[in-house]
Amino acid sequence: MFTFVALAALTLPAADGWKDLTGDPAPALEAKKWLNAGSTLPSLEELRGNVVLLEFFATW
Amino acid sequence: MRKVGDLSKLHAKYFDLGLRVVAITSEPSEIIEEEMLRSKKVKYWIGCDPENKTMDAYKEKGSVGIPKTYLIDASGRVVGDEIPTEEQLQQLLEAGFDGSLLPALHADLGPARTAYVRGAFGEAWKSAQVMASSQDEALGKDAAFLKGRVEAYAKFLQGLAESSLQKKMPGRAYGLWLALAHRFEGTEAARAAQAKLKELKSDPSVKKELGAWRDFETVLERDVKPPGAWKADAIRTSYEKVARANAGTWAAWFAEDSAKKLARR
Repeated sequence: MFTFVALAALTLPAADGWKDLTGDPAPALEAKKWLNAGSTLPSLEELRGNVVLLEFFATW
Repeated sequence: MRKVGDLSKLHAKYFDLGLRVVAITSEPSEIIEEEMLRSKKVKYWIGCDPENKTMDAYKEKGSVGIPKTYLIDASGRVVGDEIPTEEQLQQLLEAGFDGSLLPALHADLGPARTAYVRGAFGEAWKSAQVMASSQDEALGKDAAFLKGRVEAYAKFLQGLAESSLQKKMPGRAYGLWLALAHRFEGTEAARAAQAKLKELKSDPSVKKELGAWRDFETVLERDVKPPGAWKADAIRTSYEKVARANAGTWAAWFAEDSAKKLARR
């Protein structure tokens, strides 16, 4: 039973439609335009040593 | 947008200590500038990603629930999907100051980098300070970065020391200020720490452990400013001895912590 549940967790996407990436290297951050960042390019390479709180959002 | 206030608070409080709040949206920048920057005065970074390039890398195919959070540690790994507690955040921020996470720097900063890696942050700061005004633009930029890293770490430790005092842990505060006084020697933070140490010496719980603190300080001095070549193993053994001889004191806790950090190197 335990094995079955574990397998299911591996093969089904997370219920909210987002990947569970815990433990994985974070995918790159890309944007057409950055606001508030000044001359800094918020790439993860550039942000090494910093902790990043990443939030996907919409205003609607 | 229930989280705008929370994220803004975290950004304001922890930006200087190494937190980057990064928000990504698929909406056009005109809307975001009006809704977020002008009306909500948001200061954290916002990426407008109309083609969903970033989102596609994080979501499975199909519908997505927004907002969604990812927490990424200083080495670039995803460590959670919730806004962290302040305690969790502080642990993650401190890990970010580890020398192993320093990016590649200009070759002339080699000695400064070595000093940083072995925890002699004042030495690293002083040599970076000299090079920060270099004519060589690449060197100047890297030197300013390293100097900024040291200053941010000092600020982080000052904050921890202050909050330790507020939480009635003068022993923990004393150990943090000792680290600031020695490891950041030559910086403003070290001078400020010296004054704090003097003040705190009259605290009864610190007074009781002054012998243990002296043992620890002797090794710390050798660690930061070795009389000869710096040898990690010899210093680690000395820290371990201090920890054993003073078991149960805050000094022993710091000695053990220093030994552990050396073992990881």
